[in-house]
Amino acid sequence: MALPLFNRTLDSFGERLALKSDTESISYLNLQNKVKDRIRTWQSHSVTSRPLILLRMANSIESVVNYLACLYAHYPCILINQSAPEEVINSIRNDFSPNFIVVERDCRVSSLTQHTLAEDLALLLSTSGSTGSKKFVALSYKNLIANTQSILGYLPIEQSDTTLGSLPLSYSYGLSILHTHLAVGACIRFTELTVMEKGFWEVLEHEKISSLNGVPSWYEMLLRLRFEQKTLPKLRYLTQAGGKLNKQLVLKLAGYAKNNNKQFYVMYGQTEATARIAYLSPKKLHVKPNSIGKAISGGELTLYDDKNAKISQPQKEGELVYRGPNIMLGYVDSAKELGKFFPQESLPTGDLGYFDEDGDFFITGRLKRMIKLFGERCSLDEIEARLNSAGFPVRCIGEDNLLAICTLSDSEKEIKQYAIKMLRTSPKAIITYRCEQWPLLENGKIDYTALQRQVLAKV
Amino acid sequence: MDNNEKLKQVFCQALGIEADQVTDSLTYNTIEEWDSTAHMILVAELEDTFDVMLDTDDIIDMSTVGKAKEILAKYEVQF
Repeated sequence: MALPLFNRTLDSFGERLALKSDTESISYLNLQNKVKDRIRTWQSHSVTSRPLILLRMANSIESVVNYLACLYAHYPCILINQSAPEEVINSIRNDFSPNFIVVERDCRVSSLTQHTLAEDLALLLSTSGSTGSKKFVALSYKNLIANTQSILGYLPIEQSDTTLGSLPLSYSYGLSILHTHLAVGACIRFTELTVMEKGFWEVLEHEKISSLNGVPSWYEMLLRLRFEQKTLPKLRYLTQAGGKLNKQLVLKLAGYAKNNNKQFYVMYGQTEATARIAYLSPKKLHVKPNSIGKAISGGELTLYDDKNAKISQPQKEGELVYRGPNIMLGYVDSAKELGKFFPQESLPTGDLGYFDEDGDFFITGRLKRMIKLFGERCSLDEIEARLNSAGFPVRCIGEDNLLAICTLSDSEKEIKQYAIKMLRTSPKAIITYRCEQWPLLENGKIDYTALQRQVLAKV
Repeated sequence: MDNNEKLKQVFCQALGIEADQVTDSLTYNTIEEWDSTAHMILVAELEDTFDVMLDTDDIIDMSTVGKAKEILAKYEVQF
């Protein structure tokens, strides 16, 4: 059986190692057999001919078997991090009534609803990971195939590679690494070890890891642990996406790559575009460490000004708009929207930027009220709404890695504790600020810009 | 403020926990506040507070409050 995604059967890679974890490993041949068995098990429940599956995904062999079984069997799945809190799972059950909830080998029938599911619907991904947004991005099989092909067009992935699968597979970037490596017959090494454990560094040095992939906070940690002192002869390249890595650290990694004969790829993307939108050629890294480069093959990046006119000259700021075969089917927040999609031709990214004389793009800021908390994209409006519905009448502002929650009451401590639990983030990333009154715009709405100035000036 | 108090304060601030939780046996990854992200913040603050520069093994070995004292002692910080 040919996997729709990769245009060839998994077992054509035979005894090659497909996946390896801290405790076990599996060849392509055995992976294919396990996937077939898994589908048979699910079919024996025979709830409906094409069930909707909620997949609680870990970076494990069993989770990959589940995911591939969904792709093979043509069952759409909602991918959610296995460690997501019950509150998130319950809200998905309410909104989507998935027929099965699958965790590793465990499969539970959860609903008998006969869903109407669009033929091309492959998967639903959350845009904000564990922060529990109710909005999902719907992706098609075509999206997955197109983006996998584009990525294989520029990353030097080889069949003999073993990449470190350290990014969550429920996250579009992590998932793209699974797709691209399975497509060429390479190996993905999962590990429960964090960079904080000796074992992690032993895996890097002794298991011939050929590539690393990470978000800015992960590279910050690697560098804090003096990563640049390790020569790692088998390591050929590094990729970074999921937010802007500080320019000094980009240069530090660029220098490391140069001195140790490796390549470093700075990339840009969004879940709404399956994963990847643009990347910077490693050759330009030293000259343009803060650039995201150019669109991937098959895609196009353009800029539009605030009057919605296309910008054609360099150095002029506008909103980045992407076009390409990897643009999502659409956003969904309930099962009744899964029957028919009206995909847009272009994707406004919400990011502001410009391009230079060579056509390389640079990001300067964000249009929407969004921040990143240690790699997780968070909407300030959404966090605010969730805190409000929990009984805290607060206003939120912030910048990357710092959320400021403003309140008129004296329950700052309580609010902070609740927010830490809700967002599952470091206490360091959250400050509370007591205001005398809200700064207002003439139309009576909260003046967030003024609030931002007022609060962040004191941090 | 003596070094014990300074250390306690750094742990409280970096991990967002109460002073009475900071005992020598408090261990990395056993409370949700002390995860890898918090650990990096902790290391940065320890380096600032005690004016030391830790290496990879020090950072990784610093798995309890007691261990932190031992490691800092190598850099001539007295407890």
